[in-house]
Amino acid sequence: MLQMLALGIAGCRHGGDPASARGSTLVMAVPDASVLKPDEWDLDFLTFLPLATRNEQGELEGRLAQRWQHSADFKEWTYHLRTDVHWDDGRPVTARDVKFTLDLLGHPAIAAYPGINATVVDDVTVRIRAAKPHYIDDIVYYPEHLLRSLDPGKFWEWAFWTHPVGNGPFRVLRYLPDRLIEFETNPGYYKGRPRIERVILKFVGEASLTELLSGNVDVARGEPSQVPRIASDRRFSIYNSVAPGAYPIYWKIEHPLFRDPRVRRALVHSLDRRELLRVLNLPEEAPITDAVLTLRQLRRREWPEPLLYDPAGARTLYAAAGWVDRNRDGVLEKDGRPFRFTVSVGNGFGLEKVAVYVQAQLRRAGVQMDIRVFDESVMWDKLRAGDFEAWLYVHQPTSLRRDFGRGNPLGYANPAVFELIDRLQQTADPNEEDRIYRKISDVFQTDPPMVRLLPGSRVWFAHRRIRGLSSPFRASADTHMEDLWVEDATGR
Amino acid sequence: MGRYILKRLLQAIPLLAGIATITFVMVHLAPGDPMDMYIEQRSQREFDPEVIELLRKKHGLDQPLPVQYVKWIGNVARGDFGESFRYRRPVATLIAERVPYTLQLTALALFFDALIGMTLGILSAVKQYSRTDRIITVGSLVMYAIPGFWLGIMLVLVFSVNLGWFPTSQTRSLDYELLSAPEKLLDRLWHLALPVFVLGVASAAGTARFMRNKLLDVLSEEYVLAARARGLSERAVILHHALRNALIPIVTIYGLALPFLLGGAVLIEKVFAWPGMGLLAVDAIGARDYPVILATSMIAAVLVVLGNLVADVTYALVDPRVSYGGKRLA
Amino acid sequence: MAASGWPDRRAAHALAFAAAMVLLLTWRHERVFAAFATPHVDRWAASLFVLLALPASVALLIYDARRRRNQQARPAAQGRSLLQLAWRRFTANRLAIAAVYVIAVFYLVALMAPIIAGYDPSALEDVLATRYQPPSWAHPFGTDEFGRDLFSRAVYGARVSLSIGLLAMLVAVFVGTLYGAIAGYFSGLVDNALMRLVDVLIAFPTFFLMLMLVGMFEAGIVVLVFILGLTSWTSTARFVRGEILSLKEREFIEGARAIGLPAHLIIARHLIPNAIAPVLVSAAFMVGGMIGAEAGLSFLGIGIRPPTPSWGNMISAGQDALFVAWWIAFFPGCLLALTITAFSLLSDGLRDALDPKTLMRKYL
Repeated sequence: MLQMLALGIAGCRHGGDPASARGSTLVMAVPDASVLKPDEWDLDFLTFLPLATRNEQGELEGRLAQRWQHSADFKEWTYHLRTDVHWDDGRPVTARDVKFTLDLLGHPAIAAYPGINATVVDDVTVRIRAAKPHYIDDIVYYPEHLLRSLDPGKFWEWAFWTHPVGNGPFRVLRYLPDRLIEFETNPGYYKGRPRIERVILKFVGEASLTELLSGNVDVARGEPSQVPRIASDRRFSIYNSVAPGAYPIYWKIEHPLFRDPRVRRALVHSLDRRELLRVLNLPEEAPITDAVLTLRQLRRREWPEPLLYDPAGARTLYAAAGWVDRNRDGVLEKDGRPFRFTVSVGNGFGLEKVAVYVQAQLRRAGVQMDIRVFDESVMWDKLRAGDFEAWLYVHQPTSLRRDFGRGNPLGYANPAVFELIDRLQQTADPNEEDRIYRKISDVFQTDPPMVRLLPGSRVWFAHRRIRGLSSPFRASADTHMEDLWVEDATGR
Repeated sequence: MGRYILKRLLQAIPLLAGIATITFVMVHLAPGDPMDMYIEQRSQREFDPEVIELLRKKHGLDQPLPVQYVKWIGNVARGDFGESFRYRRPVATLIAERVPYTLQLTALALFFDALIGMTLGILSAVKQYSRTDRIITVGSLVMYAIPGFWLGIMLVLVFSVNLGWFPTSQTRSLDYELLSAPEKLLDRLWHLALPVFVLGVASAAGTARFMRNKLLDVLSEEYVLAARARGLSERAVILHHALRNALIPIVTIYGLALPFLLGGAVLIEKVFAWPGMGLLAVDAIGARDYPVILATSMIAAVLVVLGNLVADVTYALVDPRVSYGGKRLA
Repeated sequence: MAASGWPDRRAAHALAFAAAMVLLLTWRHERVFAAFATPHVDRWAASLFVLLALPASVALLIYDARRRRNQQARPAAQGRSLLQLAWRRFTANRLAIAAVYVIAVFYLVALMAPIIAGYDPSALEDVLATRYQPPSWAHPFGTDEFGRDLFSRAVYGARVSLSIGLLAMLVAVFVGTLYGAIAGYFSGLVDNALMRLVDVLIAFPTFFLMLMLVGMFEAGIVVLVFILGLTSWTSTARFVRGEILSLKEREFIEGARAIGLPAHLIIARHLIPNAIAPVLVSAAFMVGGMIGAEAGLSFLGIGIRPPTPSWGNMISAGQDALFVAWWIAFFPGCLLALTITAFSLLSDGLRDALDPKTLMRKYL
């Protein structure tokens, strides 16, 4: 009831002076119609704070926590919390909130993070012990005093999620299911009031570009194919963010075509990845490499040079492995069989488009690649059953073990890589992680299980009056909302 | 009358049970594991197989299929559709949020269909073989053939983006809450205009054709000729005699129009980002969100059965020749 | 000049067709002959068709002229069969004839795709220089984001869309007719059981059902044809059953039964052929519906997956690039509308021709 009243008052205030409110309002298009809910963490970050986040160099930077220590094996972390962070209702944020949240997320009914043990040392100190060495950086913390009496079994249905009480830079003003969430600045935010006074997340499904062009939203995530249209429109700026992940083609190593590492290297040499970036409207400076990267390595721009686009070199390698175009039909042959395979492409991420370009590039090298697009769920079934030849999908640095570790679906069996990945599970020391990733990358130079076609990237479109975004590490409006501001000189 | 309706409702039960069984079997036979999608959505962190097992257990996916089926049927009978894998909220809540939007869209499209379709049909029949008739006949054929989703895209391009006359997506304006009641209504209708037009125009074309043929049939009946012979004006003949009788069969096709519209609504919702049930279903299919897939198809079937029932009852009301005994004229 | 007015319309058609083939041959003669040097069966077929069509149409012309002369020699006293009457009514319907032309041209274009399409529908050249070109003489439908010629893609897309439409209709009509005939012939318990299943299926919005099946089972062209066909046979089954029920009471069926003809022969030889008129009418209509359904599913991204072109997934690709290049989505939509309209007109024409009175009353 009180909440209703509060909403009513807020509505009046909004109504009282809509024109001036518009000036520092940012409207962002979001696709999903039920975005405000726990575990959709990009947006959680507007209202709730994590213990620490990664800064531009990929290092941890305190948020709720101002200092921390960890045990030698990185399994136990002790955090000392800031004392100046308060929930919107005025209560201070304490170690009990952290413990409560971790217990809650480990509850069998929710089962998001089982196996984490937290102990409250004192009001502002909490000790977290996990079974695996790890800093958990994608958890935000919820107020214990408001939630402890609620039933975890109904976690996803709590009214709290539609009227949250948070501690982040913004607080929820109103939530209209299927339409929008409106946030206003949190005047008590510990870093000081953000410059944007009002943030509206508008649910637009797939119509984000239309909404942007018709001036209804200021910021939207885009597709590379939409870049030419936005680039020709002076109202908007384009930002690209990059992530350590990539869009690779994984080879099925057991397949007779790909068993020979020389052939896999030749395939990499056959691909002009600069050209791929150009035709897909991705920024030229995006990382092209054959390595696997940690976030730190990416942000410090530390990555080894890729195997270059080198058609002649590729031809030599193909020939060394026995693949030559003997009958001059444009396709390589060996023992009378053409070099032909089918790539299974996961639906989504626009990967079917990438596949078309790759197909054209390989054709120039005398390799015939057919394309089959699958729904992701079906794709996983096929993958596990070994029913594929090559596989174009997403590579996440977090899934190294799944993709290249023991028992991987590719049949990749490099003992050195297995051992390195096993060592990776035992550590959370960032320097050690960097070293292991570098060693894995070295092995990949001679025995590549995949070819990284494109860097993991996202494109954002923003109205020019929205300032504070930059490529490539501050391009995501959702995670950097508190650092943005609105410049009104350009007008709407 | 009440008994007739009750009887029809009772007949619908085995029908719905049949549909439930068919969809359940289909959904579980299909390849793909919902848990894969769950992992992919959260691929920012490495996933514990342990978590997946917990989730599988929680959703009952670890049990043998017949057990799952019996449990599911039992729950559905009590109105519990389970919890969405993807949104992790009760499916009933999700559907309750979405169904009103789909109903708004389809109901208004039906209304549009009736209004425009019948008017054009009557006009066409009255002026048989005239130029108007020919334009309407061919025009309705073409409108029936134009894919709605394509028409929607083109209209958005012209009227929303280039001319800025209509909104491009969503159901209401951002400042909807500040509007007065009549303005709110206008705002809603303004947002509904394009989707309703696109959805309704094809079925209106169908209605126009049907109406024309029926009216022409009736106009050649003896009692109409007799009315004409009595010197009644053409207007009176058509309005009082012919139209009333031609309307009877029209009523029945509205029951049949509903599945057509619901199917079309899936595509239109996609084009206009309309937060209806169709969109929910499409997304659920991609994510293998079993509870949502099952529930949306059940709801769609219920709507169709109800639509048929309403059509039959209206038919019975307007046509005194039908006895309530349940015998239905085809 | 012969009194019959030769060359008549039929001859004119054959001449026009022959002329079109001659034009095609001169325009694309290199490609026609080059096809025989490739291992692609579809190119062979297209070239063979073009080469054989010319002599065939000339032969037809000569045959027709001779037949006419013979007919003049012995003036007709033959009666007109029902079929001839229907044919006469059908050919008098100008809209229906126009529809037949459109359909014929579209299917011929699909058959001769490798000869007609100016470009390889999947070849990429210098993408940045060739992408998003508006319609021009070189690219009548423009180019897409890969710089591929959209006219060529539409021509190849016609193969996919049109054959799916036709094949799915055949599946639906076959299943529906057989099912309806069996239910109608045996009536009683069998009929009851069979028709309950139909009731269940009819209560399901067809497109929803297609969506579920196509979305969940990984659908190639063959699977898609069967899913479309097997979700659309119920209405055919219903009216075939109705038709059979009324036919069954007629004397010739009772006669056949009396002489001990087995059930499957009665159904196959007597019942189905006599119920075929409405089946034909609805079949023509159904092809359009199937093509539309395929387009809708492909638009949702679950029917025919790119890079295989189909009109539906071309529209879907065009929606992504709508604000850069309207033409990508525009032309496939027009082709769809034209095709579906043509099939509706054909269906109307068949209905009016086969049984103008009763059919109109019963089925729209």
